[in-house]
Amino acid sequence: MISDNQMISGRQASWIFMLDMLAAGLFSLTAAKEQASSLTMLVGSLLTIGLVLIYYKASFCMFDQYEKKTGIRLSEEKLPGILCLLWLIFYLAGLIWALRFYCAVIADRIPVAYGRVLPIIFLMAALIYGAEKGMEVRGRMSELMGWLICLPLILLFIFGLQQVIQSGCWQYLMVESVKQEGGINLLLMLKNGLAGAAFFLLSDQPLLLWRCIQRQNRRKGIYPVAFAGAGLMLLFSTGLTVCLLSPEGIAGERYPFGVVLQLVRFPGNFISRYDIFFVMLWMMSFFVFAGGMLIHLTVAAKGLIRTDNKDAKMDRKLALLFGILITAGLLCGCYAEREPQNRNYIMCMGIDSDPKGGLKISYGFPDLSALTGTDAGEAEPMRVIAAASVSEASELLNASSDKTTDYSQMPVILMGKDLFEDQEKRSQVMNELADEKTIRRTALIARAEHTAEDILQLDDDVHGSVGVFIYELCQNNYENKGCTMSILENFIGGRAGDETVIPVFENNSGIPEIIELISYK
Amino acid sequence: MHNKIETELETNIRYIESRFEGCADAVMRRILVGDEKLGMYVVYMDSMYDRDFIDGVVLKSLLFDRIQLPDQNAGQVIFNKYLATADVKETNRMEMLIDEVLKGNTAILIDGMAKAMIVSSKNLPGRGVSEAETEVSVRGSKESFTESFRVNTVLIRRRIRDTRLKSRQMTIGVRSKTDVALMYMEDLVRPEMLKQVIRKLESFKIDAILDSSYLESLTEEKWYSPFPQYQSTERPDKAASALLEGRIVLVVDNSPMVLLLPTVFACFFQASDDYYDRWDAANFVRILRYAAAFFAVLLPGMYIALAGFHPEALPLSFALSFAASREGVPFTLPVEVVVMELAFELLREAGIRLPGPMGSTLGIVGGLIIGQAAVDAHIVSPVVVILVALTALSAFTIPNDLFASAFRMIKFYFIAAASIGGFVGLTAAVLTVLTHLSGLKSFGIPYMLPFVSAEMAPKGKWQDNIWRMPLGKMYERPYFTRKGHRRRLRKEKKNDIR
Repeated sequence: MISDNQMISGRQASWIFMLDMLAAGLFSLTAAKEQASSLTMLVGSLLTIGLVLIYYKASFCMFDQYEKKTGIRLSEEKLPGILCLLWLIFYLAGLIWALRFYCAVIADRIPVAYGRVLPIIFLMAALIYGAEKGMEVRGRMSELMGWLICLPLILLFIFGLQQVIQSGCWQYLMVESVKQEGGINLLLMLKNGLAGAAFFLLSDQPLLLWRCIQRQNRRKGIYPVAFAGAGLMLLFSTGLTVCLLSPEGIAGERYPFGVVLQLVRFPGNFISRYDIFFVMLWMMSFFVFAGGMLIHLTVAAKGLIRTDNKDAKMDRKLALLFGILITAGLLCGCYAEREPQNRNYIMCMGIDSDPKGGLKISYGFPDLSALTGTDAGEAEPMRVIAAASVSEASELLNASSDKTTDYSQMPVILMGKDLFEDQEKRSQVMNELADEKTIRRTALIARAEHTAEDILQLDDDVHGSVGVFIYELCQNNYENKGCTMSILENFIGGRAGDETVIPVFENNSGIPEIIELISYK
Repeated sequence: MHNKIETELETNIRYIESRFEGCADAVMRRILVGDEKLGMYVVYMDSMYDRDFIDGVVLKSLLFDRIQLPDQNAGQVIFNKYLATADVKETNRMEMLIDEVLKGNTAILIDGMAKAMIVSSKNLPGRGVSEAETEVSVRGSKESFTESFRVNTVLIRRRIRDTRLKSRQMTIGVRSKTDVALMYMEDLVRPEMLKQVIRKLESFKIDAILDSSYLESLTEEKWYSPFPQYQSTERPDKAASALLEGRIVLVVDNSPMVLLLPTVFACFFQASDDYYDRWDAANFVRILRYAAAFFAVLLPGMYIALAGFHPEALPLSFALSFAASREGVPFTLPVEVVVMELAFELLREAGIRLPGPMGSTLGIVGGLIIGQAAVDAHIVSPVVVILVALTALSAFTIPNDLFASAFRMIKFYFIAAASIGGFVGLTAAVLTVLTHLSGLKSFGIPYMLPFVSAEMAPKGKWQDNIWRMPLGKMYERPYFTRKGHRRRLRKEKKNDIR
């Protein structure tokens, strides 16, 4: 029988430690805002893991010595007030930092109008509920969460590896490639490693693990499982990110691993991009990570006040939870939702250079009746909007439509000849497309022989949508020639080289036709 | 108070008649035996006793056989010599006499004797052993428990003919005086768990226990949890199997459901046929059940989150289909889902209350005709109809009705969370439910065992959970069993098995 003694087993401690590492490292380890060589990234990750290992090992040795010398068992004695105060300050700062990190990842990966408040309110509601249950429940939760998170991650690595091999991107990890990149950037490596380690150090403190592990002889045993598990996963995630995005691509992203999650394809086509799902799984590990801080914060506060709060009543907890949820709903939550029929899905975006300056952007919309075989009404006609930028054009489109512009399903981006040949303008447009998080990084990039508008004019002639037609045309007939590889991510990451080709389309008697494949550069 | 039976028969009769005053179903009769020298008083409840036995055997032998009674201790002689049954006991307490009569036994008081004889003559009206209705098995036994307490204990005893199967009987309910049997395998049950169960059963007083669910509600640790902390079954083979795993079985009179405890999350996914079918087919079905449970609870919430908040995660064809199907529907996405889910719950509830053939007709009318009409009228979208049907189908796949109900309730919580916060809200809601499940215990055993606290059962913990091993490989009893008694199968050293 297991008692409610707020102690955890060595196995549970291993899981907690693993989840802490994943929560802190999965998105942060590869987040280098400047270009770093692939080896720098990998060594940076190893350095992080090594630092954490040393920190924990040293702490455990210290506690061991303290207990031996004073004869006081840290797990049984109340800590001195000053230590509690320091602890309180440390965890409060840590929790705020962690929540900021959490919000930044959510904002980067889930491009809906949540604002900053709602995700925090939801997480805090879950955290408050979880923290009250104490260490023992957290230990059990970590066992459950561990499987829920690790199994999908392992699948991600399997399918990601397959993709890396297929695309030949593994060369980024080869010695020759590293030499070309200029070897290890020592400063950047240290910076990344220390920044990553700082996150881990904020997680479960060794003192807490020391105090809560039920059997003392198990304390040392938590390392092999945790490091073999989470360490390997973090290394794999770093390797996968380097291979799929390239060091140049990583430099342009806030959380590059999030982009990897969007690019990796799983069989079945049930879901088109998996970053949202993995962010949700990451949120679960983050729950264990931040939950620990909240528990320890409470313990420290209790130690400081020196009272045992045994009056925590169920009704108060429930009232708090409901209060938070209702407030969240009333304040901001409900406004984030958009009905599917009120979304103006863009099926193809044509971007031309406007002779008067700025851009001319053409939007193609789906003919739902034709695409779904239902009587969903007539399709919206193609629209052309002149604007200084893509975002301005979106605003203008929104202002003149009864629906909300939605880029999330857009399969094709077509560029006119003038824009394509104007390298400066093209690069500006690409950067803008990169910032628009709703646009899939797997959207096909193509060029029109003359103007993109010409091709989009065919929307009425092609069954359903010209965008869907072009995408399926390339996927079904030109995959071996590299057309389907000319996706947005390749161009944003700067990986597009001479060998990267994009298809050129021309209006051939009312049907878009590929007339040649040209090099992007 | 007349707590003790007096030697003077008239005093006893006065007291008994005063207690049974107004009870038309009580039969009380004075008779004279032994050449009409000795007065006797017989009490029983009409239609609760075995008429053939009492009238045709016991009373006949007393009234019509030639009885030679001594002047002294005549009553004791009758008890020793002339009562034509072995199943008889004495009592000197009036309260016990009344309790026994109310159970269907026959009390006989004899003049000059300060005690009564209680002849076991229970023959309560009730249905016989019939086929299980809610836990149907294709290959296994068809028997199910009945409302008769003794029949139920016999159905279990028939399957475990071992003196180590103990049955501790108690009476609970100040007015109902319901018989409750606590059955366990003496050597397999954890002693501390047995003590805990007994302590809990003795920890309250209530006027009546009308069903086993009363006991469940009164003794469970977290009343507010939607998840059942007891497993209930109507199948004797399931109860016997639970006993052999070191669990405790509570049989309650008047209830066709017996309670199995402790229980864990994984127990609710196990059906009897899992052990009677071939292991590969059984595993396939069991894994399907877990998947069904996932869909039953999460599908509507995920639909709202995906279609309303995160359409970018949907493949193009899905996103466009959702948009097309929603054209002209007046309700918002969450309202549409909730309305349809509630409509289904209404149909389900109405179907249960109506007699068999009408219930199925209602299902067809509601499901097909109203559903199709609602779609044609653009009141709901066809996607939501499919979704609700899939969710319902998934919920029905869960073998335990109470457990499936918990999933149905939580589904609405997830719908609300997804409606407010998309996937962020849904994840937070899932986290709270998982936290709740992680904190839940059934008589000291963590509810999520062996997914959590796996160190409790180091050996054989995965042999019967998400999947089950072939029977020939299931060497260990599960974690409910007392330490040192976990081995249940041996292929070598066969004499070591206990």
